[in-house]
Amino acid sequence: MKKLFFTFFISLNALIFSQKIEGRVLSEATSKGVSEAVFYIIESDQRTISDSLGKFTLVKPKLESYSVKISAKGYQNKFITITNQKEFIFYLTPQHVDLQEITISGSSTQIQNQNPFHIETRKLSELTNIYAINMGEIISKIPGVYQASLGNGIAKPVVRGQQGMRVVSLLNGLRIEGQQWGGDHGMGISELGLGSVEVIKGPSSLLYGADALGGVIYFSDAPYAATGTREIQVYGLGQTNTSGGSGRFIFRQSNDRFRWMFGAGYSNHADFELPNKKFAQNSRFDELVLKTSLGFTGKKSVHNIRYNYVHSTVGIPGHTHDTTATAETFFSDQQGRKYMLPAQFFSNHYISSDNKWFMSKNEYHILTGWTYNQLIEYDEKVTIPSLSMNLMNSIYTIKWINKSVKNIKFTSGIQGMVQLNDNEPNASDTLIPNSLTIDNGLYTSIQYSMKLWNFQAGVRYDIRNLNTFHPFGGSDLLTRNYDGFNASFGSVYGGKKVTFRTAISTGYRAPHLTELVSNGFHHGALRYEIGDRNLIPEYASQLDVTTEITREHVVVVVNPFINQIRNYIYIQPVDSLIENIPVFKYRQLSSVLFYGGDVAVHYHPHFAHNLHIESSVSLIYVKTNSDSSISLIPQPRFQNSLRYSFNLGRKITLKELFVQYTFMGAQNQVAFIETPSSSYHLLDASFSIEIKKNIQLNIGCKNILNTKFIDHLSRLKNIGMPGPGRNFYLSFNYNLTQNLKNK
Amino acid sequence: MKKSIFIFGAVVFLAANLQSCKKNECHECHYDEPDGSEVELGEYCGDELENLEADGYTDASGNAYEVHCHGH
Repeated sequence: MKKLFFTFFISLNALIFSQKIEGRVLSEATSKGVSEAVFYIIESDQRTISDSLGKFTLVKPKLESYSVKISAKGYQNKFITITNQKEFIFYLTPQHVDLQEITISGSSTQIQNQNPFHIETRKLSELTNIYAINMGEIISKIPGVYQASLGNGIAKPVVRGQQGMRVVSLLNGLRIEGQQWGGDHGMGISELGLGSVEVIKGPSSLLYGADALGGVIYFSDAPYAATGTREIQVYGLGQTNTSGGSGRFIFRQSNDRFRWMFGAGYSNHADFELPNKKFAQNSRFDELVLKTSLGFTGKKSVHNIRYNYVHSTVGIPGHTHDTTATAETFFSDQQGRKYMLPAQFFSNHYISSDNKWFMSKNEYHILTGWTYNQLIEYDEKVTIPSLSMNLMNSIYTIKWINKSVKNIKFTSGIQGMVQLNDNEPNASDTLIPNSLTIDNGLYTSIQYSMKLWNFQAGVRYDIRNLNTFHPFGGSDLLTRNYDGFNASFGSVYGGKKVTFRTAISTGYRAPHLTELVSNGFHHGALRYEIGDRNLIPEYASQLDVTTEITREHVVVVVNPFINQIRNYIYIQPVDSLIENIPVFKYRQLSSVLFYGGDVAVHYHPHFAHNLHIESSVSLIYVKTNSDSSISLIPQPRFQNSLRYSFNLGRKITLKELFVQYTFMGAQNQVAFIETPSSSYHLLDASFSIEIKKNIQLNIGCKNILNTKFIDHLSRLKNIGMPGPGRNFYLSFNYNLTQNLKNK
Repeated sequence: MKKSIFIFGAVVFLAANLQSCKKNECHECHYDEPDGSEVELGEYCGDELENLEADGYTDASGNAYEVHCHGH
């Protein structure tokens, strides 16, 4: 039976992939072969790597035409469309600074400088030159993106001053829902197996529906192994500050048709050490991650099934029964690792099936998925949780791209989700009732290309139906229907030296259940929260302008924006206490204006080809007509990095030195419930060593100057607890690539 | 390949054990007197711990107290 099965698949393989394409990648400057160049067919998700002579071979997809990206270190990425050829010679242009990438979070996969909407695309490896302890810290290196953290274990993304429900996160296209309305609820996304992250800043309802008022964060898995190879990656890290570390293992294998991967990771960190050598009590956490995916390339289709599990146990610092508590109350002389209260157990299962079909003029994309989030908080008792909620979300996305008319691309689709929130009966508190939310949306957009110009316009209609299953907080059952009509328009001029982009986009967000009906203790946020059933949806409109100037040795990006949000929902303290915990109520402002921008420079001096200097400035301001009710506006940020590449030594090679300097300006734009934050600066550095090409060691130090700092967005600011002090770390990364015998 | 599957299996096994062992933990329990002072009840484990936290503690005079089984 096994043999029969095997023979069947081999025959099928031969039938589908009978033709191969061959080629060479050469340097335009020297006409010599470029080794380790990656030849990637975007539609069929196939990847191969050139040999030392620049030669490559790959099975030809059964498509009339397909898009290819060719990339190599030290060269400009090349994007071409191939029709019927089987043999190729590609010339790559040496370039030291290249910001052009493909983006997949837009309406369709496209090159960055042809996309009318500004999308920040970063490889994860670019963001982890200095080790980051969680995903929030990793993405906060992107201009305009920040993190709101609660110690090391919980970090939420903040995009242009918006967080929580206003930022939508996606993992390989699957919308992640994890009770993100809570300031103390983490992201539920781990670094394991991820390859890149894209950030769309500002309202993005056209493609992602309700809620994406602040922005969209789109995480993508790293590519599978190159066709005909298997890869094994082992990673380990240890750091002094938390006496902790993490380990990861990833296996990938790709045949001509099938590709699969699995990975596992575990992190464990004790309380972090403060600059004064004491420890932040109960800031400990551990995290387990499992991941697997299976990909299949059909005749004219690509299919992926993915599963991801993330479980974390996180201590919540800042808990006391002492009414005269000071910052020192929360410091400890001993570094603890053992589980203690209060703590949060956060589990996430993500399952998705992603399918794309490519016809001559049409593309069809169907993604279905299911996410399950379990959030349990223990506050006062070890066996009886204070909160225990299950959030189940079923998602569908159907997209159709039509290219029948020359230079015009139509994209239409429907999206929806069915979300069930269920409280476990054993919990002592219930913050929001059991409920069912059903979302459906319909959109269409048109993209027109005219030489170096691209224009895109689209409209979308969404409807949300919300029902609670039982009376809650002294009120009856709640049934609400919300709808939103949104539109976006963007244009881009993608010249060789200048890219100029203008985009106008709108978004809408229906009030979340917690804002409507919550009535209870939220210990993680140290608040008693009361909702308001009369809240109406928020609507946002943003103007975003991007200018990119590219020269051989320098790239400058200037990206100002202005985002008006009407009916802005916020939480405000009312002057009362319930069981010694302050009471907060949800309220609404008629209009709030957020404005600011990012400026980024990447300089690579001609006289020092191994040196890269990158700087960025991010500024966010807020203006309201009435009072200063908008809290948690990020501090002005000036981020600088210097990277110097070496090639010293043979078997053991000193590869790179990386120095990062971050200056966070003082934040005096505060709500009446907030206190201003002081400026601070952080200095980090690392260097990497390569042993026999497949082992990389990284040695680094974060917060070298042992600066005492309290970030304005830190949830621990209220108790006067600073961020972590000096931290030395050492990591190793072992990569093994083997060719499969039957290649 | 076999090695890879073995490592994967080992990681899953280890992780499952790390997750499940918390259920068998023991904790020192106490209740608070009206004047704020703590009265220690000793260490409790498993079902006994769960019942004590759920039902509370009643002293000889019939006074009922809420029990906490953790330190902070």
